[in-house]
Amino acid sequence: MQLQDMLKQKIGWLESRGNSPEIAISSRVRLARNLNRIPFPQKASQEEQKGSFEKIKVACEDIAYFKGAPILNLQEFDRVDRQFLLERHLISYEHSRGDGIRGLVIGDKELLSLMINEEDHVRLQGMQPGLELEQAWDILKRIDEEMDKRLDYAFSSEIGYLTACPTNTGTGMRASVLMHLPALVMNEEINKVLQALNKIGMVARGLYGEGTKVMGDLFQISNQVTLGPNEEGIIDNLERVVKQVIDYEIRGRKALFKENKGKVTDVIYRGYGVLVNARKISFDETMELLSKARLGIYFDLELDTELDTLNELMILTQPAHLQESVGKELTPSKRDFIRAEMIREKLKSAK
Amino acid sequence: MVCDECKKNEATIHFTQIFNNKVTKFHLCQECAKEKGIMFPSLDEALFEGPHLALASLLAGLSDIGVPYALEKPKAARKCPNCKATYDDFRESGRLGCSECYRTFKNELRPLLRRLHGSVQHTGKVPFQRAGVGEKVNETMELRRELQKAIEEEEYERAAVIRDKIKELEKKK
Repeated sequence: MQLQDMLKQKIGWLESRGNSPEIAISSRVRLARNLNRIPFPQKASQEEQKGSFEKIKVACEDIAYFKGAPILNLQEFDRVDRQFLLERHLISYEHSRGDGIRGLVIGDKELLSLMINEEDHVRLQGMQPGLELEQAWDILKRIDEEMDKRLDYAFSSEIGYLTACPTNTGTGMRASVLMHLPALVMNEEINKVLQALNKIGMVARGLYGEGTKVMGDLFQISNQVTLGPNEEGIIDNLERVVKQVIDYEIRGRKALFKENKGKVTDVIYRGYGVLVNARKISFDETMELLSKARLGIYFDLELDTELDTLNELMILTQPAHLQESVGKELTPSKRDFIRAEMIREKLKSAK
Repeated sequence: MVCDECKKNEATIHFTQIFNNKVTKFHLCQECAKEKGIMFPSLDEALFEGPHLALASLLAGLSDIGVPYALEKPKAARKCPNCKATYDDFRESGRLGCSECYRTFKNELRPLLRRLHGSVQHTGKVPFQRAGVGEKVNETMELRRELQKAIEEEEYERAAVIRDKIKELEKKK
């Protein structure tokens, strides 16, 4: 399969639909599952990894949801390709860098994916645009049941699904919402919010998940507890919390606009001016300015662009995406020139 | 401040963990922190920033750091009969070897799971293969939750009725 083909495809979870897409960009639910008694990927020998890979592959091929879905063996892909898959949020950082026999199944519109031999044998994830955790879970639940009919999953009636790391034991479920919180960053309320999240068993992570840095005021908020509450309970709880954070952010945005209208609009328009005119721009700066432009759309400023285009740019301007788009490896400096060109093109054609 | 772990060196690494509203502060010296797996990543990876806690590894050590003397160290020689992993392997990598490890190291893992999640009773989905057994398990789970609720609401009469139902169901198993 050619990864370049994916560049032309629309990513389903980036469409600006669903609930509150201007703040809650996308919702994700993932399940960790393992094959009973077969060593977990990190402990498994080459042979055992291969065995698990084949079993899971056969199960996927048998499921209607995955009909025609590419099943990739990551060993066949180089570093840039794997980085590309990470940038599309299809695989984790660990999966993009680790060795051994690892796989990835990509569902329709990238709303569904399955990692084989990551930390656990199976990591199934469902994505939806906006705050749509329930919808994501509804779809995922059905596929999990189909997989489960075909594989012997490790499970204990007492402590639930057994995972390689005890932080996932129980439901094996991590639900998360990718949130754009520029006002809370500007008014410096964000640290208070993050601390409060921690106290109620939630955690905020950077753009690419665990251990990654925050860019473009984007935060992934997710549950930490996986054992005790059931799946619906975890989702309800997260949804409630996310709605509160959305309220804080809206309040912050309104206050910003009311109290500092002149300054804030100036920052947004200047930033947009850079996006439209720059000849060389880094990814960090791009994310920062796209964040401001998103805020400009919210405030109904005259930016001649829309949320969908800005969302698309957040993905397309990433380093590996640029390299896939020209079909070769580029030095960071060269990338910065091509990035600026791409942004100009996209923003011009959106007019 | 002296290191919590070795009680000798000056503690230079300070951090706070919060689990289920319980705040635990750690003060460690460089050496002990390194042993506990708190590492700094290489600088070449610009996308990712440190200091990065090798969280899993830290977790594996938590049952020691959190309650220094309450838990006995497991006998290092004991191996999982299925995958041959030891509990020390788990401490080092933060990952268990296979599903059977949960049985082998049950005594060590229970307190850790409770600390992480505040519970050691699964109430969620049950695999299809065990649906027959599952239904019954789920039924008692549901009742257990109701029991908890009744106790919290101080409705002890209702609680007693639920308790008897659970007993009856478990007898049938």
